[in-house]
Amino acid sequence: MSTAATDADLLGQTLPVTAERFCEQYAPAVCRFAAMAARSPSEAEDIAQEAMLHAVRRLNKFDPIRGEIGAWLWRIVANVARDHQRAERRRFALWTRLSRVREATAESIESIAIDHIDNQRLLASLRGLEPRDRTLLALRFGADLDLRAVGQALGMSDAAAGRAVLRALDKLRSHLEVNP
Amino acid sequence: MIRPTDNLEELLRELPLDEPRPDAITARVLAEARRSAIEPSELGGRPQWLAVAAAALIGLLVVAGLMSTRLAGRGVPAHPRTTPTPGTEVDYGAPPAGVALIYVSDPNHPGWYNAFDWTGQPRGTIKLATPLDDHLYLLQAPDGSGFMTSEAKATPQQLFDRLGAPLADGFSESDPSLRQVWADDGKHLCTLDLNSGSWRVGFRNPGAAPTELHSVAIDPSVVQSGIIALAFSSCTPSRDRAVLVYNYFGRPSQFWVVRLSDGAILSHQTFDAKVLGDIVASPDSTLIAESSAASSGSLLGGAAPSTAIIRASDGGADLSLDPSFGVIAFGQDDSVVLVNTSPLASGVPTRLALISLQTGSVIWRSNGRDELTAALVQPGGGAFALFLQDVHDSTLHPSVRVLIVRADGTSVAVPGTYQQP
Repeated sequence: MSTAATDADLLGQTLPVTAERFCEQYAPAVCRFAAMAARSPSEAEDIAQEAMLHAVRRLNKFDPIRGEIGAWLWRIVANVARDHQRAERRRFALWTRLSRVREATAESIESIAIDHIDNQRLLASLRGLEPRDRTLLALRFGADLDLRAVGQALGMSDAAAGRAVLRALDKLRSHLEVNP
Repeated sequence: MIRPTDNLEELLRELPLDEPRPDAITARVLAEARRSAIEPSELGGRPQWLAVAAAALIGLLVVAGLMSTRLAGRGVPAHPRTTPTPGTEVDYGAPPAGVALIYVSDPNHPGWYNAFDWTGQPRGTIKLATPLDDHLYLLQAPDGSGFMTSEAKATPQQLFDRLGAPLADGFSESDPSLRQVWADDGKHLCTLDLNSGSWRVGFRNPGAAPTELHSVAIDPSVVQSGIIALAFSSCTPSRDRAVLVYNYFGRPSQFWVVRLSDGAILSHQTFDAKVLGDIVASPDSTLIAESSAASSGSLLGGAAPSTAIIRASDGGADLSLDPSFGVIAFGQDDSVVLVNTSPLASGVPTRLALISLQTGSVIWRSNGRDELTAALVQPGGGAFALFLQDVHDSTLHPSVRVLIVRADGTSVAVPGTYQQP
């Protein structure tokens, strides 16, 4: 899931890129990001769909002179995730009060099979992080972006992105140690 | 157990997640973009972009030989539910035994399902004691002699007899990894589950424990994605065969022909990710259709030059079709195949054809305005029941009309409009 290769591939084509090519190239990474940044499968679906739709609708406005298409996309994705996370925090608070948190989306048979106890702990801890930390980790380890791309998506320098990712990892580790 | 010294970065990279399906997201995004009146030129001047949605929906296709074939994924929630106009609201009474039936959901009575025979005549109504949750689907046995709910997280699959009465199930409720489908005979359920990291296949009667479970030596790497992508394409206990297919957007497609009685893999094929759009087996597990990626609208190059139908026994070619044809399902008598002649896409009319497997000629063709949402294969025959919906209806249970298309090219419409069960 190398973004550099992806950008090179796409920029090697005559712009504007087609929506289909764009989706085929980026939808898997956006979906992986969304699954890690969201607190529920349904929210992940919404983030992924909204971000991709947002990008596709503006694809003709993308200007390669101003930067790589990947960086452009991930800024959109990060913004959509941020907006969703804000709304999601309000909903989550309500659901918690009502004790009715329920996920209706089908769970994959594969995900059940793989060290599900540890993975569930890790996922629960990840979802317990602040939205910004989740976004950082999802961009870095879900979408597999390098620190430069993470920084571009969130409007910060490479070094600042690196520090922010490390802090988010520390928080995640602390969360795991507090909730073994 | 996760320890403080563990490499969290790697754990996060490998963390299995319930990821949205990229193919479904792509289909909905492109369909929605089209609805928003974006001109093709804005999408790169390539009007074929619509075809992408198809590639996606092909991935959602749950062909299962004689099982209900569901094509539509979760809809784009921007469109209101259309008002169903049922042909009748009467209770047709208990459905007859020994008659193959097609079930639709009564839009005015939650939990009621009306049965029609393969001539299109109403033959009965079943009433579930408790209507299913909206996110569940009722999957009928090929002949309508039993029912099963679709898979859903935290909800064990429920089984019902032919009259809609719940069946006790001492197997699935205890195993969350279990996946089960109707066998081609409509009497058995074929099961696929994971046991200590290995896949096992088996079959059983509804409500009974599996006769035997046998490990299948499928490469564990196909299960590391956290994505639902390995499934039965056919299961035929009478021939001791099943065909398992792994098909996921952007990843290599694979199929395995498996012997049910011991789990032995009789053949295994892997295709580069861009070659095929879908793989579908015939209900009797004797034929396998390798649909070219061109049939799903892929423009990336590398698509197979034709849609091939091969023999499962030796991999030999049986028929070659135009690469724009994507096989949706085989008739149970292996005389015909139902194909899409334009890519399948949510929100786009579906073009269909019935092709003779003997001659390769087109027996029936439809360039209608509706979207195919599901299909049933006639037990013992060559007909298909097509569930057609309005292209703008993106609800979980869209309003559908049912068209029965026979192997001789004639068709009959079931009167009325219902809901996808």
